[in-house]
Order: sequence, then structure tokens, then C-alpha cells
Amino acid sequence: MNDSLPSEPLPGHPSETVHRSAEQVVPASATRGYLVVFGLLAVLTVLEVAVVSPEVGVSRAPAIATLIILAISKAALVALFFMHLRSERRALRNMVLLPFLFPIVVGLAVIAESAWRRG
Amino acid sequence: MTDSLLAHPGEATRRVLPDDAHLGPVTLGKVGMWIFLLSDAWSFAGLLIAYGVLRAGASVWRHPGEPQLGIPFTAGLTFLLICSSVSMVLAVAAASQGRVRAQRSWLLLTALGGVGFLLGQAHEYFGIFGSAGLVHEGLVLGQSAYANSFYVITSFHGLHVFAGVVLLLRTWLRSFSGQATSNEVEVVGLFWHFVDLVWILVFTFVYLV
Repeated sequence: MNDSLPSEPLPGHPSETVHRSAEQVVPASATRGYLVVFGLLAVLTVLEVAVVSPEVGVSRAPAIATLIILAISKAALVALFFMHLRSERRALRNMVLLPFLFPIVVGLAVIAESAWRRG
Repeated sequence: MTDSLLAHPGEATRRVLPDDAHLGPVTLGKVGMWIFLLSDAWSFAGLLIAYGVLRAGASVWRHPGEPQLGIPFTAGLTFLLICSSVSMVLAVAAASQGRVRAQRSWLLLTALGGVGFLLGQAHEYFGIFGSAGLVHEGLVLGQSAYANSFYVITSFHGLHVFAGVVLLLRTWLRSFSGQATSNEVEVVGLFWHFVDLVWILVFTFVYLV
């Protein structure tokens, strides 16, 4: 015991509880879920490319709105399933996800202002 | 049990925090990586917001003579990175199940995916596999906001891919001497998935919008 963590068991925590493994074993059945997420990511990527292709011809504003929704969906799939946020406790999940409201709000505000100034 | 946990330098990072009602059983390394990833996310958020402000405020974004970004090629790179995220998550699963050989194979495959991405990016910039790269087609760093935001954001991400490949190969090598714990694989995996997640946003906002 040469680090700063308390070596004494904490009150209410027998030492075997303190030192038991934090690594949850991923069940073998999880592989199927990973492949489903992989398929979804691939499909969403194809959709993204299709939205901006001249052949499909979506006009600019709806194309951008669609792209933002698709990109956030893809990012959420990676965070929830590949980074296992879905199966983390709520405190860790909130610690990671809730702060993202701030750059989204700030980003929308300053980008909208920049566009408004251009006129 | 406690002695064996601290048998190697750096083992403190995989010390299990006391089981907490809110966080559950987590290691210091995992919580530390999440906090680092949040701070790293703000770096990317800052760059992407700056890009958005510049672009929304520009009367001309792509000046005459500047090339368009190649979407099909980069979509291929995006797909490669998604594939490497799948191999990473399979490495984490194998590590947690104690399947060391599978863990090693998936780790190496993930690192190769990262190397492939970096080669693709170098080809996109400099045309290392034949055809002309963006630098030859007139997209020059320092010439326009379009060129600057493109190179700064994509190379900052490329640096993350490079760091991820180094971490993956380190963990892969450590797995031969039994030093790579499943916690280490999981923590490296978090970083790698983050690199993939950021690329999804960069690809969408820099290439497609």
C-alpha cells in the first residue's frame, strides 16, 4: 500500500468489497449488439453522404438540419454502446453527457450571431 | 491480493475505488480517462465552434482555385474508423472474458485500422499514393479560413489517432508479458472510441456541411 488511497476499509465497506474487481465481464452475447450498432453506423454514414449528393438534391437548410441529427445520433451510438455509457451508473453518465449542453448552446448562439452579422 | 494489485509501477491507476452508491465500482484510471475526454472534447468543441463562426460569417468560404474536399474517399476513412471501433470493443470484451489471444488480435487489428486512417489522411493532404494531394490542388495552410480550419481541425484529430495507435500498440505489447489488464484495455478503448466519435462530428461538419 504505497499510494494515497486509504488502506483501512471504509466504514460499511468490508475490505473484500473495496478491492473487488471493478471490471464487469462483458457477456459473450454482447457481440451481436455491437454488430447491430456497427450496421446502424454504416447505414447512417451512407445516409449522410446521400443527403449532400447532388443526385439526391436536398436543399441546403434541410440538408444541414438532417446532417446534425444524423451526426449526433452516430455520436450517441458510439458513446452509449461502444463506450458502454448505457450500462454505467447514472452519476457517471450524467457527469459525461450533461456538460455537452453548454458547447451546443454556446455554439448555436455564436454561430447564429456570426451569420446574422453577415446579413 | 492487495500486494499483487500493486506489484507493477502504475498499478495505482487500476485501483478500484470504494464501491460508491452513485458511481458503482469503477477504477481511478477509468474516471480519470472520462474527465480527460471531457476536457479534450472542449478542445474539439472550441475548434468546431470557431470553424462555424468563421464559416457562417464569411461571404465567400471557398475561394476560386481552392479544391473541394473529397467526400467519397473520406467516407471510406470514416468507415475504416468505425470498423476499428468495432474491433476495439471486441478487444475490450475479450479482455474482460480473459481471452488473451483474441484480445491481442483485436488490439492489433484496431491499431492497423488507425495506421490505415493516418495513411489515408496523409494521402489526402500530400497525395502519397500517386494522385495530387490537397496541398498541390491549391488548399494551402495560411491562405484562407477555409484552408486553415480544415488543416487545423483534421490534423488535430490526426494527432489523436496517432496517440491512440501508440497507446494501442503499447497495450498490445504489454499483453505479451501479461501486464495489460482488462482495465487497461478498457481505458485505452475509451480513448479510441472518443477519437472515432470526434471524427464522426468532424466528417459531418467539415466535409459534408
